[in-house]
Amino acid sequence: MNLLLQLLANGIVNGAMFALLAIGFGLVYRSLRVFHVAYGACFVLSAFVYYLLVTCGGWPWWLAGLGSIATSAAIGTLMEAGFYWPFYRRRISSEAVLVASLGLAIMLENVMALLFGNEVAAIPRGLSQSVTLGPVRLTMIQIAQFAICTSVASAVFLLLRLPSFKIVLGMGENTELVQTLGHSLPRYRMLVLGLASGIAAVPACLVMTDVGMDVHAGMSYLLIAAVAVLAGGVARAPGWLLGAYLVAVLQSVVIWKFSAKWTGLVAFALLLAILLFRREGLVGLHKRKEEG
Amino acid sequence: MSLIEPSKELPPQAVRHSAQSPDDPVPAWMLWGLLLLLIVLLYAWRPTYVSHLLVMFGIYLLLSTSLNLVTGFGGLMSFSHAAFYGIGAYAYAVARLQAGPSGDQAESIIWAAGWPFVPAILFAMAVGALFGWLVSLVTLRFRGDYFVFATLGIQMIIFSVLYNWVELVRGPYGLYGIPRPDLFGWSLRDSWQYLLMLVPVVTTVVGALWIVYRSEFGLKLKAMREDERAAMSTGIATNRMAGLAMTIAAGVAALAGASYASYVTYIDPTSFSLSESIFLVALLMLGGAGNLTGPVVGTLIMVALPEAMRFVGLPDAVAANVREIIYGGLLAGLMFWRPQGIAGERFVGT
Repeated sequence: MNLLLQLLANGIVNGAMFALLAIGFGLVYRSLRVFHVAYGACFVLSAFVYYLLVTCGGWPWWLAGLGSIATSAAIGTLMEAGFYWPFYRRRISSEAVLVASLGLAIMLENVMALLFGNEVAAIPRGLSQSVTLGPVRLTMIQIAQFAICTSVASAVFLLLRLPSFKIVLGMGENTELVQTLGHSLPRYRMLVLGLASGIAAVPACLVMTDVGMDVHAGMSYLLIAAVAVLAGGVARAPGWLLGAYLVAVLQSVVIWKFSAKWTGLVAFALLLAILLFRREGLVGLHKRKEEG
Repeated sequence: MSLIEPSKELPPQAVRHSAQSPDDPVPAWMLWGLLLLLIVLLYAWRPTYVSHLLVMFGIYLLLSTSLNLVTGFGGLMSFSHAAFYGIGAYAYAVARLQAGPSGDQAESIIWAAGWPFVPAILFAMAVGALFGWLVSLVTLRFRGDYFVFATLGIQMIIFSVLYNWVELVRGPYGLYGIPRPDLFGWSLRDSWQYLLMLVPVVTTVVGALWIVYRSEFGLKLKAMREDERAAMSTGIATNRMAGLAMTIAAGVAALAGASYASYVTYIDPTSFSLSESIFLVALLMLGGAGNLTGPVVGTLIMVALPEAMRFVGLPDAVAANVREIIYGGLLAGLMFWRPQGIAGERFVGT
């Protein structure tokens, strides 16, 4: 029982990180209608930027974190301007963009493998202090992970309530209207990708500090984000959070009940089951077929 | 009578796609001639390296032409093809392996039949087709991005079972010592001998698939790809057609898997991972989906690329990454400038 509580606590901490990952992916998928496969590569890249700034640059962790977020946001914006926008202008189908994004992800992953090697990189640190709350024991890093991710997620949700960000959410529903109303579509698209990539850098740095990462981890983090968004429901942002926590907690329960090796299988079985019975996701908006 | 008769004719549009020339770049006698020449050369020359390349080309040709049926014709981008490939390989392996005195391996897997070659191949195809049909029941409830993701989930699930359920087929340790084919008391040990057996098999299956492409069934799949609702309104049971396509494709992929297992004699699940599925889709997209030549061109490039890289003389550690970068770049560039692929007809999706 105590073990279950411990694992649930770990699951919730992971859930907070997955939630940020899912928010970034969900924003791009919902607003741009782009299945952003290269998002995973972007995530790994920001983690390695953080790693380099801390170990080679000797920057303090918060400054390195900000640096990583800024770099990631810049790369995201660049990716939209130089990659996705030309595709959009040519009206290329969403599946072709998915394949292209996959190509971009493969390229980035291998460029990083050439630069950083294939080994797991982790920031050297001593044993971290831990806090005991009843039967649950959390390390300081875990507490920091939860606190930082939750506050960033809250900040993003507040941001999305601003009037000017309503356009971001409306963009996916009716792209033409954005331009009709006199807003600059390319600028908003760049904003979304920049924001999403910046958000993704936060859990990236935190994962890097805690357990480290290798350059090939991008795909599995992307899949977690995508499962969370699709299972929770693409249409509504709170669904992404629900999906992320669900995936993380479920993974913990699977570890408790069976073994860590079945976590991937359970995540995908859950996704398929949810999609089969509720196409729109757990808290999605139900739409008629004609609404697309 | 004359009022009814014309309506039985296919519309001119369909006729153009079905029987004749635009799909048919090379006359058939030329292909057969080339094949004959190949067999003669093989027998005379017995090259190991070239044979090995041609065997891999044949296996990947089976995979790409079968995936083409689902992705190119049905317009459904499936990321679970490598799973069926793997299922075929494992089904063949367990059907062939013998529980004998030597076999501590055979005792640690769930079942080892020790069948001869031909029944084992047929068994692998049947198992693959069965899985294809079962998967189609689940995944065909989705279209577009959701179909992509559902097949991707299936791929992850099947891979996870193969990799993690050690009692089933030894998981990451893999299966070794899978018997090579023996036909009529003639055991195939060298790659050129193997190639002699594989060439007729691949030719027959790929030829049959080409016939399927042009059959009424292929046309119905195309109709579904172009506009599913319109196709349904003309009385095409699109889901059943797509299910059949996935079943056939999975059966052929399983044949490819069985060929692979019997050729390399050692398999482990990492050969059938998500990245292999991605590779197969990429290969098809590169060559071009939805016609006869696309998969051939794609397979040719993908099999030749690593070999070409080898002659450039990059160090091995770098070469693999550079190859991946080239192939990622090709993929992204093609989707932008030529979404239908190098020799494709039309890009899948809308």
